[in-house]
Amino acid sequence: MTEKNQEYLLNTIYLYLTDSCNLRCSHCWITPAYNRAAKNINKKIDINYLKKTIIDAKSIGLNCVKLTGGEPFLRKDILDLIDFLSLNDIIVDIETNGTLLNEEIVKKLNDSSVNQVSVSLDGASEKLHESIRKVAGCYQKTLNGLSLLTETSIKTQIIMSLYSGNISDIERLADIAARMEVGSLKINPIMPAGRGKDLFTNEKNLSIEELINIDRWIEEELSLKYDEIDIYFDIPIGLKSLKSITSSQLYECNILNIIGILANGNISLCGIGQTETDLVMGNIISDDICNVWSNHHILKRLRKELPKKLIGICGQCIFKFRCLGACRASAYSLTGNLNSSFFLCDEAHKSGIFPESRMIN
Amino acid sequence: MKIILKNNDYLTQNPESIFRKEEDGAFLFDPKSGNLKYINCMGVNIYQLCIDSRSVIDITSLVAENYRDIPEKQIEEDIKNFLQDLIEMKFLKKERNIDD
Repeated sequence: MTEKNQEYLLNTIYLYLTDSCNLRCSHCWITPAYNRAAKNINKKIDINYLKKTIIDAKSIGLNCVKLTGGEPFLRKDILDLIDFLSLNDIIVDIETNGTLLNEEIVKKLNDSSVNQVSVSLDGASEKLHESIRKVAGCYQKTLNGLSLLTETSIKTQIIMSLYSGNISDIERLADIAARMEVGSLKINPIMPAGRGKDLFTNEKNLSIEELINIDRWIEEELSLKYDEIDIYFDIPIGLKSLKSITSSQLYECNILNIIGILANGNISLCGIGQTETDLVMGNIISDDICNVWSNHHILKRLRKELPKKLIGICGQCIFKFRCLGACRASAYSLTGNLNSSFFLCDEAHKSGIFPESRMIN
Repeated sequence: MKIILKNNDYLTQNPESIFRKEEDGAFLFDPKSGNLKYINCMGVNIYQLCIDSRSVIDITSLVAENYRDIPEKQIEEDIKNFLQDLIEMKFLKKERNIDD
């Protein structure tokens, strides 16, 4: 590893354990194959390759692994992997739809180093949630899984994917989170990637003006009403109020310190390699993760160019040094250029509502 | 290394910094380093006192006039910490001590 590369620690691996899912969510940017039977599968990359990669990556800074998918609990060896991560002092975060959780699994999670489990819930009613997730019966299973988790010491979070069809359920979901004693509610506007592209084509996404209004409403009213839970609304910090930037914890993508490993072992920037194969940088079966991290041209280019070479409004934004252009995966997915503007900031700029005070010139 | 400020140190704004005021505060930004600092209304007042070169004791006294209910020692300590941060982030420049 060169001296310069040592500045960039690989802090977190996003591990996409399967490319299957037992739900068929209309907004999913990863586009996993539908696994109707919801039976355990174990035909993806061998767990021993994952374990070796974890050990190797510890030497370049790894301290956290996020287990996601597809639906990660479709893999029957997930608990074995979590045990391994715990033994190696790796913090584990999990993203799941919650439908496959049961008492036995949750107890094992609670006995391990799992820090947080985030459960996807897009509507406060069975009808709305299942109209988005496209599988009958999933709403109650998700609530059951979430309920089991809240009885443990594991941090819990509800993740809501927001579009025009479920905007009225934000407060109801905050209410569910508060009543169930879930730690936080994270609201992600849908992305124009994977299946989400179709929602944008059908104009089911929210405009930037609507998103900013929701952000301020959450900050000024909803967060105060439900002060027992943390509510995060994921829009770029350049569009947040100064008060929220200074006083709240914001979710930010540390793209220079993470890497994704897909279900087949491919190494990618987060999960984007699933649909944008140009961003696959190797495979853990044949490539050394440390070598890829230090020497792959895509990562070297990102380190050299982010944020200096960002173009469009992101290039002009003062906050680019912190935000690094928000989601580079979606920028690439939309334009084929890792340096192009983030679509929400671009839309704000074109609509004349990007704050002038935040532009360099 | 932590900068130690003396009362008779003179401070002035770094002209290369960008200062932007918004409804609920302001922020300072250094385009060279990317340093960014958010400041509240009191911080804005203190920063603006440094438009012209001014001593630390002058700044402290001027601010303390508006906060008579806070012990002077406390104000002095808080302001010095704030000024030290701004110097370290290169938003303020320390000029030569008048005794040097």
